[in-house]
Amino acid sequence: MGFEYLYEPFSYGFMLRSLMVAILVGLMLPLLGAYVINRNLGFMGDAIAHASLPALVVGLLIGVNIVIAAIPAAIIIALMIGYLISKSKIGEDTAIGIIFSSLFALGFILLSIFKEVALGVEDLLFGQVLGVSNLDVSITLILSVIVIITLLIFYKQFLFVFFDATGAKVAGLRVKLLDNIFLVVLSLAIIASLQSVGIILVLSMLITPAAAAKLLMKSFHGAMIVGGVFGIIASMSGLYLSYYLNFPSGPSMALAATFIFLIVLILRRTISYNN
Amino acid sequence: MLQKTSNNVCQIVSEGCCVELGNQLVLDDVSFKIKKGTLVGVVGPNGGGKTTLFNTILGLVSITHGSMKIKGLNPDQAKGMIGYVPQREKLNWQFPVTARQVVQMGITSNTSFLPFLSKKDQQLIEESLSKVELLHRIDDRVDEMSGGQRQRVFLARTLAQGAEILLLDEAFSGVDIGSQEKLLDILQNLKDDGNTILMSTHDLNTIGQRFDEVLCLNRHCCAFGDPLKVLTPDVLVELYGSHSSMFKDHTLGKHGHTYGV
Repeated sequence: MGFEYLYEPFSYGFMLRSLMVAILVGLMLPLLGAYVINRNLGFMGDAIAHASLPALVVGLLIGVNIVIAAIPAAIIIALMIGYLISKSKIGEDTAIGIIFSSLFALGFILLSIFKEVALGVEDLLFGQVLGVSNLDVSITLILSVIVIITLLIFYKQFLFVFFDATGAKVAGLRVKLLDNIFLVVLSLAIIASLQSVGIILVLSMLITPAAAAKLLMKSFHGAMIVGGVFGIIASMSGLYLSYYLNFPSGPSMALAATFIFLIVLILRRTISYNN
Repeated sequence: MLQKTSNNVCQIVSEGCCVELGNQLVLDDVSFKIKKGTLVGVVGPNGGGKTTLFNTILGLVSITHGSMKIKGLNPDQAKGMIGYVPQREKLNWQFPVTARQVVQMGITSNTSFLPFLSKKDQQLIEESLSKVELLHRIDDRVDEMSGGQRQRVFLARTLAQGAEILLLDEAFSGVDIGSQEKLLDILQNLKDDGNTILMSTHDLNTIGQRFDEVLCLNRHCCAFGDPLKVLTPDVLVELYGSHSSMFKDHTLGKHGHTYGV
Protein backbone atom coordinates (compact mmCIF):
# COMPACT_ATOMS: atom_id res chain seq x y z
CA MET A 1 0.00 0.00 0.00
CA GLY A 2 1.51 3.24 -1.10
CA PHE A 3 4.49 1.45 -2.58
CA GLU A 4 3.14 1.73 -6.09
CA TYR A 5 4.49 5.28 -6.04
CA LEU A 6 7.95 3.75 -5.93
CA TYR A 7 7.65 1.19 -8.71
CA GLU A 8 4.75 2.50 -10.80
CA PRO A 9 6.95 4.94 -12.81
CA PHE A 10 9.10 2.09 -14.05
CA SER A 11 6.31 0.51 -16.04
CA TYR A 12 7.33 3.03 -18.70
CA GLY A 13 10.33 2.22 -20.88
CA PHE A 14 11.75 5.73 -20.65
CA MET A 15 11.66 5.60 -16.86
CA LEU A 16 13.53 2.28 -16.81
CA ARG A 17 16.21 3.80 -19.01
CA SER A 18 16.39 6.85 -16.77
CA LEU A 19 16.65 4.64 -13.71
CA MET A 20 19.63 2.76 -15.11
CA VAL A 21 21.45 5.96 -16.03
CA ALA A 22 20.63 7.53 -12.66
CA ILE A 23 22.00 4.54 -10.74
CA LEU A 24 25.19 4.39 -12.80
CA VAL A 25 25.84 8.11 -12.47
CA GLY A 26 24.95 8.09 -8.80
CA LEU A 27 27.48 5.34 -8.18
CA MET A 28 30.32 6.40 -10.47
CA LEU A 29 30.66 10.09 -9.55
CA PRO A 30 30.93 9.66 -5.76
CA LEU A 31 33.48 6.84 -6.15
CA LEU A 32 35.71 9.30 -7.97
CA GLY A 33 34.56 12.02 -5.60
CA ALA A 34 36.22 10.22 -2.68
CA TYR A 35 39.58 11.03 -4.29
CA VAL A 36 38.45 14.39 -5.67
CA ILE A 37 37.47 15.90 -2.31
CA ASN A 38 40.73 14.84 -0.69
CA ARG A 39 42.82 16.29 -3.50
CA ASN A 40 40.79 19.49 -3.85
CA LEU A 41 40.05 18.63 -7.47
CA GLY A 42 36.42 19.81 -7.38
CA PHE A 43 37.11 22.88 -9.46
CA MET A 44 38.86 20.67 -12.00
CA GLY A 45 35.75 18.48 -12.29
CA ASP A 46 33.58 21.54 -12.73
CA ALA A 47 35.94 22.81 -15.42
CA ILE A 48 35.90 19.57 -17.41
CA ALA A 49 32.10 19.68 -17.49
CA HIS A 50 31.89 23.32 -18.59
CA ALA A 51 34.69 23.09 -21.11
CA SER A 52 32.97 20.23 -22.92
CA LEU A 53 30.17 22.53 -24.16
CA PRO A 54 31.73 23.35 -27.56
CA ALA A 55 32.21 19.63 -28.20
CA LEU A 56 28.56 18.95 -27.37
CA VAL A 57 27.45 21.64 -29.82
CA VAL A 58 29.74 20.32 -32.56
CA GLY A 59 28.43 16.82 -31.86
CA LEU A 60 24.86 17.99 -32.38
CA LEU A 61 25.84 19.86 -35.55
CA ILE A 62 27.36 16.81 -37.21
CA GLY A 63 24.69 14.52 -35.83
CA VAL A 64 26.79 12.40 -33.49
CA ASN A 65 25.58 11.33 -30.07
CA ILE A 66 26.67 14.20 -27.86
CA VAL A 67 28.28 11.97 -25.26
CA ILE A 68 30.43 10.32 -27.91
CA ALA A 69 31.38 13.72 -29.32
CA ALA A 70 32.33 15.02 -25.89
CA ILE A 71 34.51 12.08 -24.80
CA PRO A 72 37.66 12.86 -26.82
CA ALA A 73 37.24 16.59 -26.15
CA ALA A 74 36.95 16.06 -22.40
CA ILE A 75 39.98 13.77 -22.28
CA ILE A 76 42.06 16.33 -24.17
CA ILE A 77 40.85 19.12 -21.89
CA ALA A 78 41.58 17.12 -18.73
CA LEU A 79 45.10 16.23 -19.86
CA MET A 80 45.73 19.79 -21.00
CA ILE A 81 44.65 21.17 -17.62
CA GLY A 82 46.78 18.54 -15.88
CA TYR A 83 49.78 19.57 -17.95
CA LEU A 84 49.19 23.28 -17.33
CA ILE A 85 48.90 22.70 -13.59
CA SER A 86 52.32 21.07 -13.49
CA LYS A 87 53.92 23.74 -15.70
CA SER A 88 52.08 26.97 -15.09
CA LYS A 89 53.48 29.83 -13.13
CA ILE A 90 50.12 31.55 -12.78
CA GLY A 91 48.66 29.05 -10.31
CA GLU A 92 46.34 26.07 -10.65
CA ASP A 93 43.01 27.78 -10.15
CA THR A 94 43.89 30.53 -12.57
CA ALA A 95 45.04 28.12 -15.30
CA ILE A 96 41.91 26.01 -14.91
CA GLY A 97 39.70 29.10 -14.75
CA ILE A 98 41.00 30.59 -17.98
CA ILE A 99 40.57 27.37 -19.99
CA PHE A 100 37.16 26.52 -18.63
CA SER A 101 35.57 29.94 -18.93
CA SER A 102 36.84 30.49 -22.46
CA LEU A 103 35.68 27.10 -23.75
CA PHE A 104 32.30 27.53 -22.06
CA ALA A 105 32.01 30.95 -23.72
CA LEU A 106 33.01 29.46 -27.07
CA GLY A 107 30.23 26.90 -26.67
CA PHE A 108 27.61 29.62 -26.32
CA ILE A 109 28.99 31.60 -29.24
CA LEU A 110 28.73 28.43 -31.38
CA LEU A 111 25.15 28.00 -30.21
CA SER A 112 24.30 31.53 -31.28
CA ILE A 113 25.91 31.08 -34.69
CA PHE A 114 24.34 27.71 -35.48
CA LYS A 115 20.76 28.46 -34.54
CA GLU A 116 19.62 25.29 -36.32
CA VAL A 117 21.09 23.23 -33.51
CA ALA A 118 18.00 21.99 -31.76
CA LEU A 119 19.31 21.97 -28.28
CA GLY A 120 17.55 22.61 -25.04
CA VAL A 121 20.14 24.77 -23.37
CA GLU A 122 18.39 24.28 -20.08
CA ASP A 123 18.58 20.50 -20.40
CA LEU A 124 22.25 20.74 -21.16
CA LEU A 125 22.99 22.96 -18.21
CA PHE A 126 20.73 21.29 -15.66
CA GLY A 127 20.28 17.79 -17.03
CA GLN A 128 17.23 15.90 -18.23
CA VAL A 129 17.54 12.28 -17.34
CA LEU A 130 14.02 11.46 -18.54
CA GLY A 131 15.10 11.99 -22.14
CA VAL A 132 17.82 9.36 -22.39
CA SER A 133 17.75 6.92 -25.31
CA ASN A 134 18.76 3.27 -25.48
CA LEU A 135 22.06 4.34 -27.01
CA ASP A 136 22.64 6.73 -24.08
CA VAL A 137 22.05 3.90 -21.63
CA SER A 138 24.55 1.67 -23.42
CA ILE A 139 27.17 4.39 -23.56
CA THR A 140 26.72 5.24 -19.87
CA LEU A 141 26.94 1.57 -18.98
CA ILE A 142 30.18 1.09 -20.93
CA LEU A 143 31.74 4.24 -19.46
CA SER A 144 30.75 3.26 -15.92
CA VAL A 145 32.27 -0.18 -16.32
CA ILE A 146 35.53 1.40 -17.55
CA VAL A 147 35.58 3.89 -14.68
CA ILE A 148 34.78 1.36 -11.94
CA ILE A 149 37.23 -1.28 -13.20
CA THR A 150 39.98 1.33 -13.44
CA LEU A 151 39.29 2.47 -9.88
CA LEU A 152 39.38 -1.11 -8.67
CA ILE A 153 42.62 -1.98 -10.46
CA PHE A 154 44.49 1.15 -9.42
CA TYR A 155 42.96 1.53 -5.96
CA LYS A 156 46.26 1.05 -4.09
CA GLN A 157 48.30 3.04 -6.59
CA PHE A 158 45.95 6.02 -6.60
CA LEU A 159 45.87 6.12 -2.80
CA PHE A 160 49.68 5.99 -2.62
CA VAL A 161 50.23 8.63 -5.30
CA PHE A 162 47.63 11.07 -3.97
CA PHE A 163 48.67 10.66 -0.32
CA ASP A 164 52.43 10.72 -0.82
CA ALA A 165 53.53 11.64 -4.35
CA THR A 166 57.24 11.76 -3.53
CA GLY A 167 57.15 8.44 -1.70
CA ALA A 168 55.36 6.90 -4.67
CA LYS A 169 57.97 8.26 -7.07
CA VAL A 170 60.71 6.86 -4.87
CA ALA A 171 58.99 3.47 -4.78
CA GLY A 172 59.17 3.47 -8.58
CA LEU A 173 55.51 4.19 -9.33
CA ARG A 174 54.76 6.12 -12.51
CA VAL A 175 53.18 9.08 -10.80
CA LYS A 176 52.53 11.21 -13.90
CA LEU A 177 50.92 8.33 -15.75
CA LEU A 178 48.70 7.44 -12.79
CA ASP A 179 47.71 11.11 -12.43
CA ASN A 180 46.72 11.20 -16.08
CA ILE A 181 44.80 7.92 -15.89
CA PHE A 182 42.81 9.42 -13.03
CA LEU A 183 42.08 12.59 -15.00
CA VAL A 184 40.93 10.53 -17.99
CA VAL A 185 38.48 8.41 -15.96
CA LEU A 186 37.30 11.57 -14.20
CA SER A 187 36.47 13.17 -17.54
CA LEU A 188 34.76 9.99 -18.80
CA ALA A 189 32.55 9.92 -15.71
CA ILE A 190 31.70 13.59 -15.98
CA ILE A 191 30.74 13.33 -19.63
CA ALA A 192 28.64 10.24 -18.94
CA SER A 193 26.78 12.21 -16.29
CA LEU A 194 26.06 15.37 -18.28
CA GLN A 195 22.65 14.23 -19.52
CA SER A 196 21.32 13.44 -16.09
CA VAL A 197 22.87 16.15 -13.93
CA GLY A 198 23.86 18.74 -16.51
CA ILE A 199 27.01 20.77 -16.94
CA ILE A 200 26.51 23.06 -13.99
CA LEU A 201 25.48 20.48 -11.41
CA VAL A 202 27.88 17.61 -12.14
CA LEU A 203 30.02 19.03 -9.37
CA SER A 204 27.28 18.45 -6.85
CA MET A 205 27.05 14.70 -7.46
CA LEU A 206 30.83 14.48 -7.65
CA ILE A 207 31.55 15.96 -4.25
CA THR A 208 28.45 16.11 -2.02
CA PRO A 209 27.77 12.37 -1.48
CA ALA A 210 31.51 11.78 -1.07
CA ALA A 211 31.74 14.57 1.51
CA ALA A 212 28.78 13.17 3.45
CA ALA A 213 30.42 9.74 3.46
CA LYS A 214 33.72 11.19 4.65
CA LEU A 215 31.94 12.67 7.65
CA LEU A 216 30.49 9.31 8.51
CA MET A 217 33.24 6.78 7.79
CA LYS A 218 36.65 6.33 9.35
CA SER A 219 38.34 4.50 6.50
CA PHE A 220 38.90 5.63 2.93
CA HIS A 221 37.43 2.55 1.25
CA GLY A 222 34.48 2.72 3.66
CA ALA A 223 33.88 6.32 2.63
CA MET A 224 34.12 5.32 -1.03
CA ILE A 225 31.45 2.62 -0.69
CA VAL A 226 29.08 4.70 1.45
CA GLY A 227 29.56 7.65 -0.93
CA GLY A 228 28.42 5.39 -3.78
CA VAL A 229 25.31 4.37 -1.80
CA PHE A 230 24.51 8.01 -0.98
CA GLY A 231 25.00 8.91 -4.64
CA ILE A 232 22.53 6.24 -5.79
CA ILE A 233 19.97 7.37 -3.20
CA ALA A 234 20.37 10.98 -4.29
CA SER A 235 20.10 10.27 -7.99
CA MET A 236 17.04 8.03 -7.58
CA SER A 237 15.36 10.62 -5.39
CA GLY A 238 16.06 13.16 -8.11
CA LEU A 239 14.49 10.82 -10.63
CA TYR A 240 11.26 10.55 -8.63
CA LEU A 241 11.09 14.31 -8.14
CA SER A 242 11.61 14.72 -11.85
CA TYR A 243 8.84 12.27 -12.67
CA TYR A 244 6.20 13.33 -10.20
CA LEU A 245 6.83 17.06 -9.91
CA ASN A 246 8.37 17.66 -13.31
CA PHE A 247 11.47 19.19 -11.76
CA PRO A 248 14.62 19.24 -13.86
CA SER A 249 16.60 16.16 -12.89
CA GLY A 250 19.97 17.81 -12.20
CA PRO A 251 18.77 20.25 -9.55
CA SER A 252 16.60 17.54 -7.96
CA MET A 253 19.57 15.18 -7.64
CA ALA A 254 21.81 17.99 -6.40
CA LEU A 255 19.36 19.01 -3.68
CA ALA A 256 18.76 15.40 -2.67
CA ALA A 257 22.53 15.00 -2.24
CA THR A 258 22.70 18.17 -0.17
CA PHE A 259 19.79 16.93 1.95
CA ILE A 260 21.70 13.68 2.67
CA PHE A 261 24.79 15.70 3.53
CA LEU A 262 22.85 17.87 5.99
CA ILE A 263 21.27 14.86 7.68
CA VAL A 264 24.69 13.23 8.11
CA LEU A 265 26.16 16.48 9.39
CA ILE A 266 23.41 16.94 11.97
CA LEU A 267 23.57 13.27 13.02
CA ARG A 268 27.30 13.49 13.49
CA ARG A 269 27.12 16.71 15.45
CA THR A 270 24.43 15.25 17.71
CA ILE A 271 26.32 12.02 18.27
CA SER A 272 29.65 13.66 19.05
CA TYR A 273 27.84 16.20 21.26
CA ASN A 274 26.22 13.43 23.28
CA ASN A 275 29.47 11.56 23.72
CA MET B 1 92.26 -4.42 -3.80
CA LEU B 2 91.78 -3.07 -0.32
CA GLN B 3 90.13 0.00 -1.85
CA LYS B 4 87.71 -2.21 -3.75
CA THR B 5 86.57 -4.13 -0.68
CA SER B 6 85.95 -0.98 1.27
CA ASN B 7 83.87 0.37 -1.61
CA ASN B 8 81.73 -2.74 -1.56
CA VAL B 9 80.95 -2.27 2.09
CA CYS B 10 80.04 1.34 1.35
CA GLN B 11 76.33 1.67 0.63
CA ILE B 12 76.40 5.25 -0.61
CA VAL B 13 79.40 6.82 -2.30
CA SER B 14 79.26 10.44 -3.40
CA GLU B 15 82.20 11.72 -5.41
CA GLY B 16 82.35 15.41 -6.24
CA CYS B 17 78.60 15.48 -6.60
CA CYS B 18 77.16 18.76 -7.99
CA VAL B 19 73.46 19.51 -8.40
CA GLU B 20 71.92 22.58 -10.01
CA LEU B 21 68.30 23.57 -9.54
CA GLY B 22 67.34 26.30 -11.97
CA ASN B 23 70.45 28.44 -12.14
CA GLN B 24 71.46 27.74 -8.57
CA LEU B 25 74.22 25.43 -7.56
CA VAL B 26 72.57 23.73 -4.61
CA LEU B 27 75.15 21.00 -4.04
CA ASP B 28 78.76 21.83 -4.79
CA ASP B 29 81.38 19.11 -4.95
CA VAL B 30 79.92 16.93 -2.21
CA SER B 31 81.96 13.83 -1.40
CA PHE B 32 81.42 11.19 1.29
CA LYS B 33 81.24 7.44 1.77
CA ILE B 34 78.66 5.82 4.00
CA LYS B 35 79.35 2.32 5.26
CA LYS B 36 76.74 -0.38 5.75
CA GLY B 37 75.13 -0.41 9.18
CA THR B 38 75.75 3.19 10.17
CA LEU B 39 73.41 5.85 11.48
CA VAL B 40 74.26 9.16 9.83
CA GLY B 41 72.89 12.55 10.83
CA VAL B 42 72.67 15.16 8.09
CA VAL B 43 72.78 18.69 9.49
CA GLY B 44 72.95 22.16 8.01
CA PRO B 45 70.95 25.35 7.68
CA ASN B 46 67.65 25.61 5.81
CA GLY B 47 68.43 25.84 2.12
CA GLY B 48 71.76 24.15 2.80
CA GLY B 49 70.88 21.28 0.49
CA LYS B 50 69.76 18.52 2.86
CA THR B 51 66.55 17.76 1.00
CA THR B 52 68.32 18.12 -2.36
CA LEU B 53 70.95 15.62 -1.24
CA PHE B 54 68.17 13.18 -0.33
CA ASN B 55 66.42 13.80 -3.64
CA THR B 56 69.71 13.10 -5.41
CA ILE B 57 70.19 9.80 -3.59
CA LEU B 58 66.56 8.94 -4.41
CA GLY B 59 67.11 9.67 -8.10
CA LEU B 60 64.56 12.51 -8.18
CA VAL B 61 67.00 15.18 -9.36
CA SER B 62 69.87 14.78 -11.78
CA ILE B 63 73.55 15.30 -11.08
CA THR B 64 75.42 17.96 -13.06
CA HIS B 65 78.95 16.84 -12.20
CA GLY B 66 80.48 14.02 -10.23
CA SER B 67 78.72 10.84 -9.24
CA MET B 68 76.47 9.28 -6.67
CA LYS B 69 76.48 5.49 -6.32
CA ILE B 70 74.08 3.42 -4.25
CA LYS B 71 75.47 -0.08 -3.78
CA GLY B 72 77.46 0.66 -6.92
CA LEU B 73 74.40 1.67 -8.94
CA ASN B 74 73.25 5.02 -10.26
CA PRO B 75 70.36 6.51 -8.26
CA ASP B 76 67.74 5.91 -10.95
CA GLN B 77 68.77 2.24 -11.18
CA ALA B 78 68.57 1.97 -7.40
CA LYS B 79 64.95 3.17 -7.18
CA GLY B 80 62.97 0.95 -4.87
CA MET B 81 66.09 -0.14 -2.94
CA ILE B 82 65.91 2.93 -0.75
CA GLY B 83 63.24 3.45 1.89
CA TYR B 84 62.09 7.02 2.25
CA VAL B 85 60.33 8.67 5.18
CA PRO B 86 59.01 11.99 3.85
CA GLN B 87 58.61 15.23 5.76
CA ARG B 88 55.13 15.31 7.22
CA GLU B 89 54.32 18.55 5.37
CA LYS B 90 54.76 16.76 2.05
CA LEU B 91 51.91 14.35 2.71
CA ASN B 92 48.26 14.93 1.91
CA TRP B 93 46.69 14.38 5.34
CA GLN B 94 43.20 14.87 3.96
CA PHE B 95 43.29 11.18 3.01
CA PRO B 96 42.14 9.09 5.95
CA VAL B 97 44.74 6.31 5.76
CA THR B 98 45.38 3.66 8.41
CA ALA B 99 48.76 2.34 9.55
CA ARG B 100 48.02 -0.84 7.62
CA GLN B 101 47.42 1.12 4.42
CA VAL B 102 50.59 3.20 4.79
CA VAL B 103 52.73 0.10 5.35
CA GLN B 104 50.99 -1.60 2.45
CA MET B 105 52.21 1.21 0.20
CA GLY B 106 55.71 -0.18 0.73
CA ILE B 107 54.73 -3.27 -1.25
CA THR B 108 52.62 -1.43 -3.83
CA SER B 109 54.23 -1.37 -7.24
CA ASN B 110 53.16 -0.74 -10.79
CA THR B 111 52.42 -4.41 -11.13
CA SER B 112 50.42 -5.20 -8.00
CA PHE B 113 46.82 -4.70 -9.03
CA LEU B 114 43.47 -5.21 -7.36
CA PRO B 115 42.82 -3.99 -3.82
CA PHE B 116 43.18 -7.37 -2.15
CA LEU B 117 46.24 -8.59 -0.24
CA SER B 118 47.67 -12.08 0.03
CA LYS B 119 48.17 -13.72 3.44
CA LYS B 120 51.91 -13.35 2.99
CA ASP B 121 51.59 -9.61 2.41
CA GLN B 122 49.34 -9.23 5.45
CA GLN B 123 51.94 -11.02 7.53
CA LEU B 124 54.72 -8.82 6.20
CA ILE B 125 52.73 -5.70 7.11
CA GLU B 126 52.16 -6.99 10.64
CA GLU B 127 55.80 -7.95 11.10
CA SER B 128 56.96 -4.53 9.92
CA LEU B 129 54.63 -2.73 12.31
CA SER B 130 55.69 -4.91 15.21
CA LYS B 131 59.33 -3.98 14.55
CA VAL B 132 58.42 -0.35 15.21
CA GLU B 133 56.22 -1.43 18.15
CA LEU B 134 52.96 -0.25 16.64
CA LEU B 135 51.24 -3.52 15.81
CA HIS B 136 48.48 -2.72 18.29
CA ARG B 137 47.55 0.36 16.25
CA ILE B 138 47.47 -1.34 12.84
CA ASP B 139 43.92 -0.25 12.01
CA ASP B 140 44.14 3.22 13.52
CA ARG B 141 44.33 6.28 11.33
CA VAL B 142 47.79 7.72 10.91
CA ASP B 143 46.54 11.33 10.89
CA GLU B 144 45.24 10.75 14.41
CA MET B 145 48.59 9.50 15.72
CA SER B 146 51.32 11.55 17.39
CA GLY B 147 54.25 12.87 15.36
CA GLY B 148 56.61 10.18 16.62
CA GLN B 149 54.16 7.38 15.93
CA ARG B 150 53.60 8.65 12.40
CA GLN B 151 57.33 8.52 11.74
CA ARG B 152 57.43 4.96 13.03
CA VAL B 153 54.58 3.92 10.74
CA PHE B 154 56.57 5.29 7.80
CA LEU B 155 59.65 3.44 9.02
CA ALA B 156 57.57 0.27 8.99
CA ARG B 157 56.68 1.08 5.38
CA THR B 158 60.37 1.11 4.41
CA LEU B 159 60.82 -2.22 6.21
CA ALA B 160 57.93 -3.83 4.33
CA GLN B 161 59.52 -2.52 1.15
CA GLY B 162 62.64 -4.53 2.05
CA ALA B 163 64.87 -1.46 1.86
CA GLU B 164 68.26 -1.61 3.56
CA ILE B 165 69.04 2.06 3.09
CA LEU B 166 66.64 4.37 4.89
CA LEU B 167 66.35 8.13 4.41
CA LEU B 168 64.44 10.15 6.98
CA ASP B 169 63.73 13.78 6.10
CA GLU B 170 63.39 16.01 9.18
CA ALA B 171 62.03 13.10 11.15
CA PHE B 172 62.13 15.05 14.42
CA SER B 173 60.00 17.98 13.30
CA GLY B 174 56.89 18.09 15.46
CA VAL B 175 58.07 15.18 17.60
CA ASP B 176 58.46 15.66 21.36
CA ILE B 177 61.68 14.72 23.16
CA GLY B 178 60.35 11.46 24.64
CA SER B 179 59.14 10.28 21.25
CA GLN B 180 62.45 11.34 19.68
CA GLU B 181 64.25 9.00 22.08
CA LYS B 182 61.85 6.19 21.23
CA LEU B 183 62.41 6.79 17.52
CA LEU B 184 66.19 6.78 18.05
CA ASP B 185 65.95 3.49 19.96
CA ILE B 186 64.10 1.94 17.03
CA LEU B 187 66.62 3.37 14.56
CA GLN B 188 69.39 1.85 16.68
CA ASN B 189 67.71 -1.58 16.44
CA LEU B 190 67.29 -1.24 12.69
CA LYS B 191 70.92 -0.23 12.39
CA ASP B 192 71.97 -3.26 14.40
CA ASP B 193 70.00 -5.39 11.93
CA GLY B 194 72.35 -4.08 9.21
CA ASN B 195 70.36 -1.16 7.84
CA THR B 196 72.08 2.03 6.76
CA ILE B 197 70.21 5.11 7.92
CA LEU B 198 70.47 8.77 6.96
CA MET B 199 68.42 11.30 8.85
CA SER B 200 68.35 15.04 8.35
CA THR B 201 67.80 16.97 11.54
CA HIS B 202 68.16 20.37 13.15
CA ASP B 203 68.83 18.91 16.56
CA LEU B 204 72.57 19.08 17.14
CA ASN B 205 72.29 17.84 20.70
CA THR B 206 71.34 14.26 19.87
CA ILE B 207 73.94 14.00 17.09
CA GLY B 208 76.96 13.42 19.29
CA GLN B 209 75.28 10.88 21.51
CA ARG B 210 73.23 8.81 19.15
CA PHE B 211 74.70 9.02 15.65
CA ASP B 212 77.76 7.22 14.28
CA GLU B 213 78.57 9.88 11.76
CA VAL B 214 77.51 13.38 10.88
CA LEU B 215 77.37 15.01 7.47
CA CYS B 216 77.51 18.80 7.69
CA LEU B 217 75.99 20.34 4.61
CA ASN B 218 75.92 23.97 3.58
CA ARG B 219 75.88 23.73 -0.21
CA HIS B 220 79.16 21.90 0.10
CA CYS B 221 80.18 19.25 2.56
CA CYS B 222 81.68 21.21 5.49
CA ALA B 223 82.57 18.12 7.44
CA PHE B 224 81.89 14.41 7.52
CA GLY B 225 82.79 11.82 10.12
CA ASP B 226 82.55 10.99 13.80
CA PRO B 227 80.39 13.73 15.34
CA LEU B 228 82.58 13.91 18.42
CA LYS B 229 85.51 14.87 16.21
CA VAL B 230 84.07 16.88 13.35
CA LEU B 231 81.53 19.16 15.03
CA THR B 232 84.11 21.78 15.91
CA PRO B 233 83.32 25.46 16.49
CA ASP B 234 84.84 26.23 13.07
CA VAL B 235 82.50 23.81 11.33
CA LEU B 236 79.52 25.26 13.19
CA VAL B 237 80.50 28.74 12.04
CA GLU B 238 80.79 27.48 8.49
CA LEU B 239 77.37 25.85 8.76
CA TYR B 240 75.38 28.53 10.49
CA GLY B 241 77.39 31.65 9.62
CA SER B 242 76.27 34.85 11.27
CA HIS B 243 74.17 33.00 13.82
CA SER B 244 77.18 31.11 15.03
CA SER B 245 77.41 33.23 18.19
CA MET B 246 74.61 31.00 19.43
CA PHE B 247 77.10 28.18 19.43
CA LYS B 248 79.96 30.08 20.99
CA ASP B 249 80.10 27.82 24.00
CA HIS B 250 78.78 24.84 22.14
CA THR B 251 81.50 22.27 22.38
CA LEU B 252 80.52 18.66 22.62
CA GLY B 253 79.26 17.57 25.96
CA LYS B 254 78.61 21.20 26.76
CA HIS B 255 75.69 22.62 24.83
CA GLY B 256 76.06 26.26 25.74
CA HIS B 257 73.82 25.80 28.73
CA THR B 258 75.54 28.63 30.55
CA TYR B 259 73.37 30.93 28.42
CA GLY B 260 70.18 30.28 30.22
CA VAL B 261 68.14 27.53 31.78
